[in-house]
Amino acid sequence: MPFELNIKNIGKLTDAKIRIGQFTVLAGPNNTGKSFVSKVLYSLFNAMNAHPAAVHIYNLTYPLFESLENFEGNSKKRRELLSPLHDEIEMLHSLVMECPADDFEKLDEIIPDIVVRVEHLKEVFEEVYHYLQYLADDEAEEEGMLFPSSSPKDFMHDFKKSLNKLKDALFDRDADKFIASGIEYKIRENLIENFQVAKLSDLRGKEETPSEVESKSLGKFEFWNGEIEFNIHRAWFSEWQRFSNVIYLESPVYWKLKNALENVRFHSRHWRRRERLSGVPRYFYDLTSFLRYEYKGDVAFPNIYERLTGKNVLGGKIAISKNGDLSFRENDRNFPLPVTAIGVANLGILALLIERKVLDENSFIFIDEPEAHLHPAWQVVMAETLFELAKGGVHVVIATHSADILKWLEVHVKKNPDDEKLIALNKFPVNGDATDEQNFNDKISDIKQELTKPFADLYTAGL
Amino acid sequence: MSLDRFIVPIQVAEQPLGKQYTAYVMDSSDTEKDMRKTVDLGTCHCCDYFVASGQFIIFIEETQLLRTVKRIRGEYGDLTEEKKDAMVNKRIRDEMQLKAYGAMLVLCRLSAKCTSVKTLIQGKKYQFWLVASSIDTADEKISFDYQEDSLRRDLKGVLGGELLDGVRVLTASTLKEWLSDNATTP
Repeated sequence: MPFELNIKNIGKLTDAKIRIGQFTVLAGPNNTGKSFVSKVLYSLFNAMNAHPAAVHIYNLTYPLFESLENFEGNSKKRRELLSPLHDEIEMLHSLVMECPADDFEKLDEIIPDIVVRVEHLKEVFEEVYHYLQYLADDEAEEEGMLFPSSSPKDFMHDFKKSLNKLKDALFDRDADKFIASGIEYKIRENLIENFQVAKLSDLRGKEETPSEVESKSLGKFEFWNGEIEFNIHRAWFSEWQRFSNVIYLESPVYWKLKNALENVRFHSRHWRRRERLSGVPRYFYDLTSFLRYEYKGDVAFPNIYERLTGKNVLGGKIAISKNGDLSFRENDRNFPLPVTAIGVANLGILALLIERKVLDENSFIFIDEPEAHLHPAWQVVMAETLFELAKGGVHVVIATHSADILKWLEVHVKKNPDDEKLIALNKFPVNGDATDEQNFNDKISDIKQELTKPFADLYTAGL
Repeated sequence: MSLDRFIVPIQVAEQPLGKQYTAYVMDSSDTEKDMRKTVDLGTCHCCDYFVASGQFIIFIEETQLLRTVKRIRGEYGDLTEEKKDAMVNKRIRDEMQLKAYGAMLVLCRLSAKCTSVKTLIQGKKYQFWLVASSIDTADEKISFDYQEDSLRRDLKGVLGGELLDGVRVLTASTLKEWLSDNATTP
């Protein structure tokens, strides 16, 4: 499914055309917008691949959870007392989650059920209300609560208010509005948390005009003054739903610091609830949650996995323990990831993603600088691996400065001319009408020339 | 007029590659064999040889590239390293552009005089090969790869993408290997 994207007024890009193929390369000097574009695309593709209706119902019910948590603090007694309310809210979520993300008809059928469930939730709340009257305000202190908790009176007021808001929000809702609200929220959340910016306008280019991403097969997205507008067709949405996972892989340093970074998130969320700006991009946490999940089925690329973990490359594998700790297992010995070579972490995580079935024939992976921390020989292994994944069905987008990776690609196409059609090369900077009709050989030659120039100049200077 | 009179063994760095490796000479000091003079373009810049192989006419220019680079850099000793690099690239580009353009011109005029040339070049695409003297180190290979990428762009500007299909910077041993593995005319 090769397609073109028009990007206007985002970051460094004023007006650019980007080609996306089975194996997409974004190449060019530093500070020309490669990583920026890949993060924008990940944020959009990930949002389109999510379950927007589930996102929306979660958002609608979040204030209810919040008032429950505020009241419960760390009191087991209160938690037990309010568990019927938790159960009812969970039921609402399950109702939506069971509906396929792109089944608009079924969702239209479910929405009236949701309204009925909310009525039921209100009844359960009224029952709980009687018990709450007997709960003394100072009980929290007696139980030695660690976290702030609200009084029964405050809780009842807050919960009731949120419940009414939920009822209002469900009024006159249909599947289109439900899904659109979920997509809008997810895009906003992704952009803000992946870039770690306070507001969407921080991503705008230098023009005082809306930022736009448009594609015939994706739809049109516009960001302007903090608002997100988009126009997508149901069929396009279904097209994006067919991807099993959309993931973003960046520096292996994140993986070495995984435990510390997860602690950052845990604490910031615990104290400040929906804290978004912890300094760590969301795509890292997205990926750690993928790794936590044990997918069913066979490993999609056993040969690639065997080669990467075999003695000619890593000679071992990255393993993940039940509590999520990463280690490098080599000759029956386990080494914690922080003491393992960083290049091992880079290729090793790729192998782990294959082993955990996060990468399969229908996944989409963005990798910013896949060559990071790799010896040139392993950069070639990385190029071979990624291209083989692409041939196996994975959509691969890389932003790279590696002459070795590009040389591998050039030679591979020379020997396998049919594979050229899988590759979309983008040379940055791409501002203006940069959709030159250069053929593959000319384009890769242009990109490589820029990358090898410093070496060639130094070589001739030393003659 | 027969093209056979221009057949010679290919020489790189004044050494023959081997008796069996022949080409049509374009730039020769032997007046009988000087293709340029034959078409009244005596002073025209031109490649050293050409061969035909499959769908391609391959222009071959033999050069001591690294020695040339060193010489040019020496001529601009007072300039900064960056400017020296720019001058080297410009001089090589200018020279190769003239040679490729000249070779094309000579061949076109020859085809008007000689039907066998017309038949030989009809419907074919063109490649430009720079055979550089080399000791085949890894550094040289990267440097040649860079030159290849640069020349591809520079020569496309002169000959146009439709005519020029490819540019290679290769060593004598690679040329020899290629000639052994592929059928060529002559």
